[in-house]
Amino acid sequence: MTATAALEVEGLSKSFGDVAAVDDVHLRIDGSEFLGLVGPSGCGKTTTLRMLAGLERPDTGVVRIGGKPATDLPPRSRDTNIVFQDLVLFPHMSVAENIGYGLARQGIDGDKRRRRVNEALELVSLPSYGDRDPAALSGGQKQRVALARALVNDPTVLLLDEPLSSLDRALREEMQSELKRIQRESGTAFLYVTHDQESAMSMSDRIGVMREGRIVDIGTPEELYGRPKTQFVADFLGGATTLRGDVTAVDGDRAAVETALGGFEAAAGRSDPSVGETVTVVVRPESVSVGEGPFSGTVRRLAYKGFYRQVTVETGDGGTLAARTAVGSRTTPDRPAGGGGMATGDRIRFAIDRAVIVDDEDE
Amino acid sequence: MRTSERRGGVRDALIASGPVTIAVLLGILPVAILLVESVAPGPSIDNYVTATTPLYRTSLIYSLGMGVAATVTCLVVAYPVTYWLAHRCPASIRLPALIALTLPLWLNYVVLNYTWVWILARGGILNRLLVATGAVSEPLGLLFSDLSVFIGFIYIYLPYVVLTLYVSMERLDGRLIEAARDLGATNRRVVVDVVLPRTFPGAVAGAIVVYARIAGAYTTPEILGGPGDVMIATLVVEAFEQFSALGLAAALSMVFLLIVVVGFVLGAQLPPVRRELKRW
Repeated sequence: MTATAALEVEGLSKSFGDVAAVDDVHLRIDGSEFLGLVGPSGCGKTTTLRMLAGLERPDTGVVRIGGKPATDLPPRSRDTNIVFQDLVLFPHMSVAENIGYGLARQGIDGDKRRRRVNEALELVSLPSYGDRDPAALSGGQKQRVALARALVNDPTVLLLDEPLSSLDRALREEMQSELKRIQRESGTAFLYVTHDQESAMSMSDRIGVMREGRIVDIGTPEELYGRPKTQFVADFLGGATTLRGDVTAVDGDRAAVETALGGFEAAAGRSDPSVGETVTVVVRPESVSVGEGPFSGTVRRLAYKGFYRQVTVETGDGGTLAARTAVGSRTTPDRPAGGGGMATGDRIRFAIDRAVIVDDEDE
Repeated sequence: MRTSERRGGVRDALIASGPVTIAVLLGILPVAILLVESVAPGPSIDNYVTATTPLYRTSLIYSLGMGVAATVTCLVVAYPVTYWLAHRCPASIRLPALIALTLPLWLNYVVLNYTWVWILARGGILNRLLVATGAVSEPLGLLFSDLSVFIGFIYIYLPYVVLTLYVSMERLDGRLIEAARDLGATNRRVVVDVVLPRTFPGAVAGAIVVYARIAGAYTTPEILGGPGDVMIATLVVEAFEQFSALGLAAALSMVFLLIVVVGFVLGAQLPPVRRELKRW
């Protein structure tokens, strides 16, 4: 089915002076998809978002919204709406006036506008909040109003610029499930920009990872987490240790890799390794079992994280590996809980349960 | 109330008594003296009766009207200028631009008025330019008229309005404008829906600073004005100096003061102004 995409971006670029903030970005969002765009600060994701909203002009590239060219259109002529990082509600207007602003600009007045504003308030679970003063609302409520103000206009694509970054953890998690619900109910395509990979992973149908102005990987959260394209993607989405090794055998989508640590099995992931090749292998901390295994190392650092301990292990060749041990979970005879009295400087044994080969970064 | 709070209250009252006394002495006392003077000897209201005769009545209306016209014009000019300064001007030239615009504040206002005599005279720069370019065949009689007085007021009082409005304009969050644009606002709508409401305090402050000064001005109409409509300050000085009619001068001043105060009180009843004052 080739339905018209909600958003298509081709070759989008923008430089500020000598710095290429956005470099040849291609993107496609389908009808009611939740696309997360993640990357470290300064990677160009916000600039990309602003160009899609029409608040910045690209140097080159094409933007199509709902199939219609929109590259040079001002914000008011595009079928997009944006939720700003700081919400930016109009302080001198009531909640209802804020939400109804876009409708009023379209010439929708009176009962029709009132009805749609109330529907929007219902959608974001703030019924009869219309007469309130935005300043009197809590952070989470302001969030919902900002969302309603954008969604009430029924845009083809809703653009969100890190709207949850100022909320505390509990509220953020609540808003994440709210956002997901609202996105499903409204059937609108969402483009959600954030540096917080965790929220992106939990909400997105697909995630795009940006680095230095380019999209370096794009796929479902599972794909990107389990089979990341590059070391950067692996490390950004959840942290990972990188090792270099030689491929000694390949069998379908699995390979045997010989590293300075020793030899172990790794998934081929999205790369295509051949025997004898030197590859980069990525190991996630939770894939390392501490206690027993073929490898050994010294505990360099222990960090208590509440429900797990992050262990930094120094390996024979001087490199370090990140591992995790559960805290307070049920113990098994061969796996003591809580790190089993592990201390810095201890020699421990460990095993690598899962690893994946990634492509080398091209500089 | 705890003892410390009570003592604090007494101490606060003592500290406040200084400035309050000065305010009373320098502000209210002279007005009280003027009031007494205006009904002396007697007490009688003869001076007030004279003050309402056509000559003075016309002058009062003209002065207040000129005040409104000049204040509004200052605001109309100051809006785009301060918007550009606060939101479009490159950061490096913002301060120099602000200084350049408010330079008249640094100078003596007699000098400022005379520069316009120089510019607007028949042999002055403006006329020479107009004649030289062929825009007019003969020099225009611009000086000693309502127009020259009006121009003088704008020139002298615009910097005050620019400064007060700039403060509001600077605090205006540019992202509100982006949000409005994203929701479909045209430039005109952005001004009406975002810029004006958010800068209203600055505009009101600017108007308060310059309005009474313009309506009651003496020097500018003296230097740049002509035999046409006379502003009230001129008549007050005339009553005082030429006719030694101190009582009349006082009465005229009181009437002027009363009208300005009533004007401000009425203005304060406007809903947007009330909302703003509530915040204070």
